[in-house]
Amino acid sequence: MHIPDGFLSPTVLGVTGAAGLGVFAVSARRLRDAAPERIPLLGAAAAWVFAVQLVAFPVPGGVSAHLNGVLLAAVLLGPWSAALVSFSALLLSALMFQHGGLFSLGANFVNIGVIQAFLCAALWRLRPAGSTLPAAGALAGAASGLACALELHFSGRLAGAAGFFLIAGTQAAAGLLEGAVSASILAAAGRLRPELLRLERI
Amino acid sequence: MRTGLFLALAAAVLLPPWRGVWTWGVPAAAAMLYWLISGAELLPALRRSAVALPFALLLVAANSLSGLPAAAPREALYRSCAVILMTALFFSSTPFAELTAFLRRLRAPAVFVSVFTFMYRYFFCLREDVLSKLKALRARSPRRPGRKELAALSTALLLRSFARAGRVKMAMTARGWEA
Repeated sequence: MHIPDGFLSPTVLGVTGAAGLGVFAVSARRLRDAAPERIPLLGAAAAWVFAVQLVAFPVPGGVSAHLNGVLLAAVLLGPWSAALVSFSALLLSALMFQHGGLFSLGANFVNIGVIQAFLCAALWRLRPAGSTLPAAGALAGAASGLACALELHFSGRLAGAAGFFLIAGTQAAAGLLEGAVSASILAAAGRLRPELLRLERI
Repeated sequence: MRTGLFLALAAAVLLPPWRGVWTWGVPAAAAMLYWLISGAELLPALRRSAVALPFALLLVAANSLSGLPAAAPREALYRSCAVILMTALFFSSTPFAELTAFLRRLRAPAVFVSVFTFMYRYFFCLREDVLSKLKALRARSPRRPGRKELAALSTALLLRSFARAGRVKMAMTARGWEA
């Protein structure tokens, strides 16, 4: 869930901005010494993460959801790469489509790029199988939704446990869908281009 | 200059605790001022300014579930709509090269600036692919494409995107590019 500008307090913006900047700096440092061919690869992954958001998946109830792509990026490229890819996609998304915001970029990066990427990469490391992805997606979605709800709560925009459950629950459901779709993409990609599953994970 | 002015005006709208008439007066004045300065088309940007509405409605629903007053967070919406309008005006009136130059001036890591630039270039190629494939899917069947078809489309996009990365890397290395 992308939080637009205007909904978070300056304190929350400062804290999440500093946390996001820290992770961003470490990921850039880790990738600085990577092989040169990794840069076009990360660019391509970021463009895919960005473009796949144009594909609206039907969800029961007549609404639709889109992939955020971070789950698959974390599994294929590793958590630090997925974090950088996610940061780039969130920045361009805020500028081009005004989804999320420039000032709330830190909060959105922490919720999506950091929590989801690292949680999914950790679960994938424990059990590297396609069947892990739906559960990993749901767990990462719930954690990301909870972080989003906490940021809104500390900004004075959200109160009451029911609101927390609503936001974390919808994000967990979106994560479950993302995980299920990512598992089928991974299976197909593994069949057609098995070398994609053997990329160095940073 | 252009980027700095946009960020300063957006910060003035978002960060101070505006009260009373300033709650809507400052966002409206900042958005109007930035429109005059940017010289960008207003109507498309105005249409974009409502994208924060679903988020505000979700907050209303979440708070009303807890038995709290279901009043819309009006002050947040004023700020949000104004900044979204300014962002749309900014992006439509600023060349991408100027943005990357600003990132370099901020001393953003070179690896990030390269990935960001590559992403922007690849996105337009992938966008054409997505739109033409979606059109083909819709043309083949009267029903909406299901999850299976859309997952296959996303896989094809992923493979094309990575294949393109390989080709671009070879072409750039041949021209003497170093990461």
